[in-house]
Amino acid sequence: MKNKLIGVFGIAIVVAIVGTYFFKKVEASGPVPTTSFAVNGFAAETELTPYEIGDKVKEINLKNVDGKMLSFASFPSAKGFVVVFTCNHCPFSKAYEDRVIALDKKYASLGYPVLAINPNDPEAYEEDSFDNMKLRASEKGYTFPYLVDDKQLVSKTFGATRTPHAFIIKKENDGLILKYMGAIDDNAQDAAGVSKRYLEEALNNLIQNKPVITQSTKAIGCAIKWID
Amino acid sequence: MIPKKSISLLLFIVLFCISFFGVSQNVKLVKFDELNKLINKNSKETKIVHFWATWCKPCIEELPVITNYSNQNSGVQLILVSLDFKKDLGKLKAYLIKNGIKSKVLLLDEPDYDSWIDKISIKWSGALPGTLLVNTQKNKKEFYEKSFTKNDFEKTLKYFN
Repeated sequence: MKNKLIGVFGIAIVVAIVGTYFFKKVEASGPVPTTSFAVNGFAAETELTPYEIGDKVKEINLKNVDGKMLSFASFPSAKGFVVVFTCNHCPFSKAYEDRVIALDKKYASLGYPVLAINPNDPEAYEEDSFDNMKLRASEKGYTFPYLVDDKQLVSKTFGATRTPHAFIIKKENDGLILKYMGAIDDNAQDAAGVSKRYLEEALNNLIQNKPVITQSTKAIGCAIKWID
Repeated sequence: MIPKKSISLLLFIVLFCISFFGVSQNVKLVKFDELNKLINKNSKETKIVHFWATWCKPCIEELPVITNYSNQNSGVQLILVSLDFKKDLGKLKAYLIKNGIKSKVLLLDEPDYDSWIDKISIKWSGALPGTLLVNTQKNKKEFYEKSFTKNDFEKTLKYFN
């Protein structure tokens, strides 16, 4: 009887120790991306929990202004991406357009190309129609893709709420990780008056394998018009 | 004898100037500190601090809901905060005149948005339109990042108070 009790007790202790070890291991591996079960085209808007810093970002497949479908995988040599939700009509997007073009010119060759994504419902904003996107990209000589998120799912998984809204993702061993989200810099109205270049600072850190210091910022912008 | 036509023209010009300057007195350029003081100032009335801009289509569509409510209800104080660019002050004034908006309008001149959005509300992502309801008597604040319909706004104010 005594031996049996010692045996059971011993097993209980072993189970407790092993259990705690695995629990701690799971805790330490960081936040579990909560969107993995939801994004399949059938999820209700309320089920999607947007990415947080450190989350693994799912693959996308969106149409570019040249008619071709593009994914992150279409850029095998990229080290990461600067995903900018932007559109034609919004004055803030217009104010940032040249800065976004400049960012691609500087960082594409350093491994971080810009991917511009239009999240808006073109029924609400005719200026944001696919044809107008093509026109704009060609007029301004965009050196980067200008993709249309026609189902708005990518915008929702990223948690984009306005235009422009920027996200930096970096390729790591287990996938594309979200490193920064928010404003491009601290002065939409006056490019010459900028003092905090959030995107550039984050990219410079990532390129040097340093951590991003300011990971998340907010800005005023045009609310994304969601399809009802 | 001064011709009737000249008098009418003069009268028209005078009235136009009065109305133009009268309305434009209602647009004040402010920094965040001043807005913050105004928001937190003790008052009996519920404050509706409404963030909008002339370039924001949903804001323009919704604005009459906000202004009509405040015109029809005495227990509220409406503070319209425009996020138009400073250089578009003229455009803002013209919009207000054209739409007969006589409420107090502040143009928030604080381009470093990240430095103050959270001070209005942690819940706000920065998208427009946005409305902050403030009741200093009950020490209550609530932020709504959405466009209101007439019924929706009435319900929300009722529930907030």
